[in-house]
Amino acid sequence: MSSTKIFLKSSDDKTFEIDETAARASETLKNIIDGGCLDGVIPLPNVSSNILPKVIEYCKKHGGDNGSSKKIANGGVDKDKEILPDYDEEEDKREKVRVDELKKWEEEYMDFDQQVLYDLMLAANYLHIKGLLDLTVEKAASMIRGRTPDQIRENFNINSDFTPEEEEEMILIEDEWDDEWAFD
Amino acid sequence: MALVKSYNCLNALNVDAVVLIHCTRTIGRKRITLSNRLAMEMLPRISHCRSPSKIEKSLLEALPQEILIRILCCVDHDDLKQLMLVSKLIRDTTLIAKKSHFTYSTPRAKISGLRSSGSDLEHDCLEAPNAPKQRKKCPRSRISRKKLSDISVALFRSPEGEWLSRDALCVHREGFE
Repeated sequence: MSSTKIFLKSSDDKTFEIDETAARASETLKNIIDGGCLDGVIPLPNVSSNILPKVIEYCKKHGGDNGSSKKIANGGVDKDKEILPDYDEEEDKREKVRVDELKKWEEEYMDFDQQVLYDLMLAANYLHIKGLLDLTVEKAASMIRGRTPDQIRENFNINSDFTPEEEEEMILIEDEWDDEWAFD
Repeated sequence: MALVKSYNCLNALNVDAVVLIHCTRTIGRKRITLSNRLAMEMLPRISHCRSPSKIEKSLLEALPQEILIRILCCVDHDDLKQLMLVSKLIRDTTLIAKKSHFTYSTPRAKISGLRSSGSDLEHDCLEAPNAPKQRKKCPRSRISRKKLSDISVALFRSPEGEWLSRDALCVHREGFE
């Protein structure tokens, strides 16, 4: 598939090259391209030059499709089922391999520190790359799940700004929640 | 309480502020003036995405509310309680996430074996949630077999002497063996 190159300019005036198909992973860029407002370079004043390559790497990997590995797995299989009642097993297997590979890639891709995580989140939000946003948000959420308040504070370098009375009040609210959620 | 809630929402969800005032207006008269005043106070903040005092804070708290809510919507129901105690900003955001997302989602089943690791895992797997407490050691019956057979005799005692004598005979025989 031949595709035109698009140039993106980071906030610190560095230019990066990306294929049009890859750029379409970003809703924002897609709109710019489709809107025909493309004159050479797209300036991205909210994305710095140390984050932009990371974003481009994601876009390249995900090309036209717009979602994380999970979503592709579900979407792909469902579609096959709809079209052919007895869909090809080979195809299914290949799909699985592809998803596994993608998961592995995501794991390696997501190996960075918190500062990058936040910057990437902001960039994904700004560029409307849903898959990347989901991925980064999930990583942050995994740092919260199953932790105590102290652990969460430590993880994210948060200082508690509660007064002792407020903390007591919070515990009362917690008790209310206990009543509210009968499932627990 | 409602006032506090709307204040929190205003504080946090900049975009929805106007919509929210609209909603409270229909609820009661008293709240109109208050929430309007609140809205006026919040207006300068609405124009600036983030108040300058918050810049020094944690990187997580420096994220736009919108993204923070997204993150919090990915945690489990059980984590909300912990999040409430972390800090005021996180608490406010958690409340929004709870109202907008968790109220409408089913708590995830506790398959702690998959998630937790280490010592937690073993502990959780042993006991079912909310199950009656089990005795660790199952005490052996204090009554021996022999005594039980005596009881059976007593139970079957009946006016007919035939029954009694037959059972008594059995016990007698067993005792000797």
